[in-house]
Amino acid sequence: MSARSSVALDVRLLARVTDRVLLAQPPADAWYVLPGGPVESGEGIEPALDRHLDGLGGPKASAWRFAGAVEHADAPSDRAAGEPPAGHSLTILFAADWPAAVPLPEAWRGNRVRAVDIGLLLATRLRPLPVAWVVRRWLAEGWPLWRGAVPAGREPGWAGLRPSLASLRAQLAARRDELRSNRFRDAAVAMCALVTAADGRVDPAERDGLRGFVATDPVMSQFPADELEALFDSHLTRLQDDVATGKLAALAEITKVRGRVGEAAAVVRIGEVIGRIDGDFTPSEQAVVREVIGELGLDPAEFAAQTVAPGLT
Amino acid sequence: MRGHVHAGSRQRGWSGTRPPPDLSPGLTCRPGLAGPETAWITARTDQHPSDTSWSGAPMPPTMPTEVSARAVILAGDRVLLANRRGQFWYFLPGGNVGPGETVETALRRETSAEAGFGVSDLEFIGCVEHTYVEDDRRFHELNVVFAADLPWGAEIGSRKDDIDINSVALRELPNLDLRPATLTDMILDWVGSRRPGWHAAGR
Repeated sequence: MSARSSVALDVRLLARVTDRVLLAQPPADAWYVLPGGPVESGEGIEPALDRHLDGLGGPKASAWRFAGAVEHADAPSDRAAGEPPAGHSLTILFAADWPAAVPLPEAWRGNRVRAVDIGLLLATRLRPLPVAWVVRRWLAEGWPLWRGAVPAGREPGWAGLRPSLASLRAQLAARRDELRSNRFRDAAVAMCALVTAADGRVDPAERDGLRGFVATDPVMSQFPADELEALFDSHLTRLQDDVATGKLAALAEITKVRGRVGEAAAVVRIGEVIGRIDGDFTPSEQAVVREVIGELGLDPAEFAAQTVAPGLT
Repeated sequence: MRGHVHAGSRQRGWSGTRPPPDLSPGLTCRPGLAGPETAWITARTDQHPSDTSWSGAPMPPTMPTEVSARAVILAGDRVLLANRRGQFWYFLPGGNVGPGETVETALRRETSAEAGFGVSDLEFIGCVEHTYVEDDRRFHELNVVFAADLPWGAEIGSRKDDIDINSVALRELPNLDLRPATLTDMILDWVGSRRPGWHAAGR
């Protein structure tokens, strides 16, 4: 019998150093990897990470938090030159904050260690690419993710599961303490207005629906309801008077969170929640959310699972 | 090996004598039921308590690692559990990821074979790692667990002769012998918070 599963296990640590992420760069390699490595046959996953991190220092195992699981097929770009193909792999990802009292190492197992600014991650060559995708999502939303390998026949850009509305709202609720700024409030309300008016008309029922949403939503209910309604009505009025002008005004509010990864992702999620809350996330609503993703400088592929039609995931 | 019958592991992909089409070369498929020789090693069983925790040292190199996909199929406040006929413990529908197939493909294949319907709009619940002993041999298994709603109009019933599919109230889960035992906490935690989790026996 085979000594190991047909799926190779791998475990990595996403260590956060305030606004940076600890990455390792193998010698003579332009790409970075997360510290960690393969899980040997029969070896526990956490003990395997502990073994790989020996010599790195940093967060202890008790501080690790589950950040997700990433299935990926081997791609030439996912390994260093000369490294044997890994085949079908499953990477388990844990995250932890780097202890302030522990100095950052300069090297780990022959790899150069570098702390990369979170804002630069999208432009950083981090492999495997599916793991990099989950890393960015974790840093933006702090929510454990599954990213499966693309099954044969799937269209390019396919990005995994489509969370339910309840899960989306739970993700937002878990981060409500980080989403208290007026900047976020203004951007979120503008997002709500854009989605509400996406089909070119606004029913009185949609205004009532927004009132119900902000009163019960764990994130939006942090702000005074009358302020939210006034902002919302103001956007809707502008959008009804002149769509182009109203849209520019709404996007101007939304882009104030550009560069703030957590707030920007939450604004997109709020837009999706508003779009899906009536059970029908229409193409025009999806188009507005996609446009906002672009305006915020986010990677559309990272939100693709949330903007495809139901039934395709 | 992949044709063995075992709770929460390789028992549900197929039950006959014919090997599955993706059987690895050199592996044999034999039918059978999990019997008294099967010891389940998790945090809740105490047959081999020394084996329940990862001490940090690598396990014996001969212990195979398996990756399985599992489904928590929900119908309102009830969940579907499978059990081997004549046995009084339960497992989640699903099974091993075969060579060349993705985790989600394996999940759909297994649930379709066992319950007769496919699952869609999957949600990630988390991962459960554990070890167990079967035929005096220890196995290491990582379960990737997803939730899905029971498809509209789907009949609840088994498509296999040797297993039953049961609809169980979520509140009854703590009273049942669901294996691996850590699944109970994982499912109930997820239903309450929707946050995917990591559960390893012994931690």
